[in-house]
Amino acid sequence: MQVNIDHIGYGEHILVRDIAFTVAPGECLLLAGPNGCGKTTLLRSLTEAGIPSKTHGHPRPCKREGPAAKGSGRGRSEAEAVLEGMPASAKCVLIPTGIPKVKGFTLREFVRTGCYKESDWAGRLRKDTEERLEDALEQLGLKTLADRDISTLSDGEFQKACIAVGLTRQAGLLLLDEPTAFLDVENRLMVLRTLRQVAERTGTAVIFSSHDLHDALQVVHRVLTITREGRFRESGPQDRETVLKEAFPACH
Amino acid sequence: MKRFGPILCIALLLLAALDLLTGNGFGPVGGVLLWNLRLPRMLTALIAGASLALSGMQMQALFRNPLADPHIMGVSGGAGLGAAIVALALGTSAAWFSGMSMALAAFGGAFLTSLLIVVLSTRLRSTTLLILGVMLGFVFSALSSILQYSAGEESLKLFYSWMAGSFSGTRPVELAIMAAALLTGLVLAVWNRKGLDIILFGENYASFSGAPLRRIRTLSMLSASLMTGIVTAFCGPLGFVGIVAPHLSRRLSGSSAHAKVLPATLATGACLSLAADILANLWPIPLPAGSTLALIGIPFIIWYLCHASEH
Repeated sequence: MQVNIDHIGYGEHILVRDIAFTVAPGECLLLAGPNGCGKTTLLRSLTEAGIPSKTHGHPRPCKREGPAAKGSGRGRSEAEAVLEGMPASAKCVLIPTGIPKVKGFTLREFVRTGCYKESDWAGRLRKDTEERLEDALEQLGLKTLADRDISTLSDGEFQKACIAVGLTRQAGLLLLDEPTAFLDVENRLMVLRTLRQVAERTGTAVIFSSHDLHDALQVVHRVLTITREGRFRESGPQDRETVLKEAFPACH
Repeated sequence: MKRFGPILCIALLLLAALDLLTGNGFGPVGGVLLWNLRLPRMLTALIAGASLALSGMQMQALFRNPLADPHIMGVSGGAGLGAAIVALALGTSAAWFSGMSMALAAFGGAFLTSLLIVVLSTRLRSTTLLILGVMLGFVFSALSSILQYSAGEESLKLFYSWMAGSFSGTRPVELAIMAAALLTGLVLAVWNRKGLDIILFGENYASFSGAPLRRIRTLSMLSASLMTGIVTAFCGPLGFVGIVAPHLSRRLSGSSAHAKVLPATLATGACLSLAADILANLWPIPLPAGSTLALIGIPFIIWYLCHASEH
């Protein structure tokens, strides 16, 4: 599918212009760039574009981002992302960073709760969704943990549970904001490998932002970068490292 | 605990029966006494406890704060100010003064405060809002004190007896209003249940799952303020049930999912206020229920705080 975004930012404060890239089913992409360059904002605007109906509940703006947020259309990101070629039944699912591991939910209950749009008023899932849930647990190796309280899971296991939510919700494009933040080396590698596997096995397109460039490079097909000056670049399969170096000139 | 459901039901029935046996001296239980005084009192305690507990549960989920409840958030304070304005500033001599007009003013105060909180909640972060609610409570009680300072003896007495909190003396009409409020609040809470669940994982996560945040907030605040407003109007400001009952239910059910917490909260809330009422009526001169509730509730909160810091 082809993604086109004219610009992202808040009101007068424009972070990045002219974003255009393609992403194919089964592809796993890394989104990299210095802090505050607009990675999260980009992921958010992609999600907003991917919500099928805009009539129910707008995503809440994140007011911490950007001093220009005040007074400019209630701080809403003003990007109008255009997604072409995405199947109508598929969704963009964003997994934000730092979801709390609330005590008193089993892993299975957590995944069901995350399927807000997909469940009925009592929180029950349709039969096919329920089957997808079990498939996702199986695929991510979470079957044995399904009835454990999520507060007892490791951060890596919990991150996998979040990925299970995305799969159950039938994500065509799965977006993850900093999935490897707060993880130790072992969990980090496990989560990264899982992302690649999920993309290849289920045909979901995966885009995640991360600062663990070295580890992430081992699993992604291509990279997307945003430079400090707000320029967007898309790499091919071969020039991943050159494009990354451009975004982080000080490191090399 | 696995069998918490039946245990809670038995406890509730026992406490309700025990409550019918206490109060108004230790004489034989006459039919008139039972039907006209004790049964309404027991039902009031039951409904009030369940309503306040359910309000507290919704506020704790909404603000993701274990100490949020209508009392803390200034809603009871608003009710107090409303009652104070009618009872103290206008005085009992006013032609239209009655217990009902004081209740109406208290309800108005509670509802306006909740409305203010709902409006602010769309602009402020949850923690800021909680602090603001506490501050509002202080402002309201300060204003009530100013009114008390200049009030006459008779109106003061009336106001104090309302402030102390009591389950007795409710008329059938008032009971019916409270029951209707509980039913409405309950329907709203059940309908909003999965919203209450997902909001526990943060507003970001909830909105990206497609949950309508504003509707979830409005529904739960509406439900909480309706129940709190009505109960406070007739029984006076009663604290602690709203904080304690949801925590007890989460512990008993071993879950935070509202499908399990909600029914358990209703039962524990009712049990707690029945226990407080029994405790209040054990003495030759009945104590104010608000105070016995505090006596039961505060040690629990201290225990919870000490326990929570360990984790």
